Amino acid sequence: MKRKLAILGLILLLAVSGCAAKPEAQHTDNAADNPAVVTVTDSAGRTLTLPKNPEHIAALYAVSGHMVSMLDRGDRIVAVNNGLKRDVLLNELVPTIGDAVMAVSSGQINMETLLDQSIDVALISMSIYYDDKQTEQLDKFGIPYFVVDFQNMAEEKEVVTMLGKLLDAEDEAAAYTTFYDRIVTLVETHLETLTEDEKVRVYHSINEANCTVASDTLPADWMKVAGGVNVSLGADLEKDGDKYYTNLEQIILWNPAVIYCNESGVSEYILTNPQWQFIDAVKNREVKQMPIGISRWGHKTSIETPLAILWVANDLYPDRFADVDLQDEVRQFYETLFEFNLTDDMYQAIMRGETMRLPKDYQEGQL
Amino acid sequence: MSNRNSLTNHRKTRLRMISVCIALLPFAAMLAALFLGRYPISFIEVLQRLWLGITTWHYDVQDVVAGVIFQIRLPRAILGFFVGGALAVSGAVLQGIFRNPLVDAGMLGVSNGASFGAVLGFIFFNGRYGAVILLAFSFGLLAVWMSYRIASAYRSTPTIMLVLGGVIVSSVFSALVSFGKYIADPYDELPGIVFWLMGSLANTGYRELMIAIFPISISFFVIYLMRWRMNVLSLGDLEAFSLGVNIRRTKGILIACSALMTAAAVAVSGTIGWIGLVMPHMIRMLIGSDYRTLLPLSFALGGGFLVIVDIFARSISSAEMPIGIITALVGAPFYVFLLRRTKGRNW
Amino acid sequence: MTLSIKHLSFQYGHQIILDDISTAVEQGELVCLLGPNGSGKTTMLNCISGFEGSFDGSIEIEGMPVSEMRDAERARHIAYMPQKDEVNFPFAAREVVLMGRTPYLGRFDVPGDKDRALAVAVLKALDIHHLADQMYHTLSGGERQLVRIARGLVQGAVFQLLDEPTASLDLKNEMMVLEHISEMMLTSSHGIVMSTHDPNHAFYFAQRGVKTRAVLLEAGTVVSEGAPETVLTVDNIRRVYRLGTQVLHFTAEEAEKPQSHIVPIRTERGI
Repeated sequence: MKRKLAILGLILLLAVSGCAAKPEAQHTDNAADNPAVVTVTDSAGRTLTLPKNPEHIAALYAVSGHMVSMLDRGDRIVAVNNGLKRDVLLNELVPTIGDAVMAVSSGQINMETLLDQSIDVALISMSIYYDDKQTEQLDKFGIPYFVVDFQNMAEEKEVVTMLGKLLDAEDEAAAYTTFYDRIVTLVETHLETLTEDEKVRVYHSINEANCTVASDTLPADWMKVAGGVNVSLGADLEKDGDKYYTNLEQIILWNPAVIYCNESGVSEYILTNPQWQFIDAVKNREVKQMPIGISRWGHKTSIETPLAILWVANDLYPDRFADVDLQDEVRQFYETLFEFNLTDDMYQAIMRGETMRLPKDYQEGQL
Repeated sequence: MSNRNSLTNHRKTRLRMISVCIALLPFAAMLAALFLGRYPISFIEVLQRLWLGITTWHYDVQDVVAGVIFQIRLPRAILGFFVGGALAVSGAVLQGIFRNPLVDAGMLGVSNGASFGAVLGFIFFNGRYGAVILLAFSFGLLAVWMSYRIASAYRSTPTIMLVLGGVIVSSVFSALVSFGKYIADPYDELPGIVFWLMGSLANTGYRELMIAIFPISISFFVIYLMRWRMNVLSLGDLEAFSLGVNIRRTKGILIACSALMTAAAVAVSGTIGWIGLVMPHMIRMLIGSDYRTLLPLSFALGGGFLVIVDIFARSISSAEMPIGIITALVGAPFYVFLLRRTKGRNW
Repeated sequence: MTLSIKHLSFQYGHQIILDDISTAVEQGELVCLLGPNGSGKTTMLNCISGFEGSFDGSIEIEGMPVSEMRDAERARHIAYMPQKDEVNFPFAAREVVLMGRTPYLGRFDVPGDKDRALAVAVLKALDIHHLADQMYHTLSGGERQLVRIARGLVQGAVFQLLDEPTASLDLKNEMMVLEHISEMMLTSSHGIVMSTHDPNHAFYFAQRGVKTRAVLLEAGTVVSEGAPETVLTVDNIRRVYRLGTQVLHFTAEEAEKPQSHIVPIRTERGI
């Protein structure tokens, strides 16, 4: 009997503590009245009340760092992941990234490093969000986190808008979505008369030759706008983490007319490997390296999606884009959004897509 | 007495039959590999291209079907045979030399050394195929050399010291592999490393075949020449010595050859475990320990097995399932089955 | 042919195992190496076989140092049957015997028909041909020793070193092995060095008509050597084994010759 009572007591205690938590939640609803905080929704659908325009940001996912930099708050980034530290162009745009501490390695947050930086908000990837242990730790130490993730163009723009709200940079966010929408409209109007038969069949290699695009992902979404038909959509692909693999015989079977590679070196590999020679794209030398700027254009975590759309559309249907100055649009993108003057040399370097990562002996201003 | 003789005769016939089956296995497997894959080619088409290929020694470059058969499936099948054979033979040799049934090339640090070399290739050379293979190869041999140096620091019982040296070197390289994975870029370097470490014959062409085939063939040839000496080594160092075998030199040559062939195998296909450990046991259980038959049959069984596993690897799923997973899943139950059937006889 | 051992000394670290031993083994002679455990019998055989190379002194066959012989040449002169039998892989007894032909094969050769025929002949001579196809590691201890003796014969070396060939055998198997060694001595002209823990083996061979010499070791030095009856005296045995014994001389029923036998004596004061 005593035990039953004890259990009952425990349940009551839990219920009371549960109620006690509620008023606090209600309190957050009043965020609109408080100029120091802002209510935003992250990519995991969580509604958060966070300090507005935070001083110390941890960008623990490469694309989140790109976005914060674009929203003019790059100098607030005090902690990064290792990929971000080695992005050549980003370091050029935001030199202070070099001083930020490395707080994520191999997908694991280093808590002590993070705590040392008095972080106001941590921007994390979906995979860290799904790792309960890591989010528990973040909760325990009171580090608010915002999940950055997107699977299509609408979600990408949405995340930027939300981050703009959080960082008190709504104008900058609007500039991005405006540019984005303008390019999409531009490409759509130029391809308006394109019939299904005219559309080119494309194989999009992601990082590795055999790794490609699955349905319901950002690369699948933007390729539709660019007028290409992804041969791998709807196919039976082997999922490994967030990558999708196929095999060579399957690619030969698809026989794409054009192959785009987002990793440097892969296009040479495909062009020189005798095993790939039976594919039309290889026979006709239509195997191309996609440009690499701040990120690999067109990658599922790239903010340069509009540029990828324009570049691919222009590449597939050059006749239809005779009136569009690709270089000028690209220059505008970096100028408007990053206040960065893209030189001709740098434009060429991006187009060649040679290096995105910093070489070991990189010095500032070298590019 | 005559009853007993007929019994042993019966047993001999059976052994001969099993041997012939094992010897034919890789050829059957390689032939089957030409028929199976994602690209739909009918049975007739394969036969037709094969016949053309054999009779004219040429194929039409424009013919996709012939291309898939001769450029993709054939080199891969041949490479699978050589890699599997190399792993099995090096396992057989090392088990004999160390008189320890639980030994394979992984133990001398070869596999881990080669893996570390490959990781370096991914980190510093962007995963360029040539760099990965060359580094894997060099570090595999470096690992054996280090094991050997550690062992020779002590004068007594060099065999046991070599095993100890191998364990030390192996764990150091294993730690270095983990360190490499730790510092690798999770977006573009890590996936390649992980996939390579799990073993795969994906994307192998004649280039990779050429890299692997010479070290493996030469090593196997030398090992096979020493088959009788290996039998004598089974008597133990003292007796083998008294029969005129130079223990140090013989063992040295055999270890170097098995290390070379393992490094070559690991360099082109990543680490594929299990084959080196278990295939020689199977032959010992089925046929016996005489290296005159054990060596070629281990090569045949290991090679045939890997080709079959690779067929599964590329036809079960639409992409490439790592071979290491399948070798363990398919091989282990079969080994247990064999162990129960033979009750560990001959071992 | 003579195998001569001159001033043989061997150290293991600072421990002296053999101390200035000089003796010789003639063809047609069986040397019984006797002495308590740890007196250096096995080490001495290891040195003679050439396996243990870091000794002082010299071991020569007809003036040729064993250490300077090529591996195969040495193996054609000296066969060694160590006490520990390390075969743990499955080999047919026939193959184990055939391995005795190794010193006559090229580095990369395998035995041929002639070698095979010789192995069969030896197996038949020892009356163990029925074991030929059985797996060596499944044989009984006695059968295994016979197979190894057969291998030594196939090896064709004049000098045969046997380290405790009867260790851990039962009475019947022990007799069987001794009998075969006697036969080997009586029918061909080998020179055998056989270590044994049982001094009676020396008497046994002498009684069988084998030219036998006993060498009694204590702590790495030769205490006494010569004919068994002069070496194996009550005094020598007390000195070396610290054991009171009595040497019995008798002629067994149905036996032609008298034989000697050492028996330990237990007195009121213990052994």
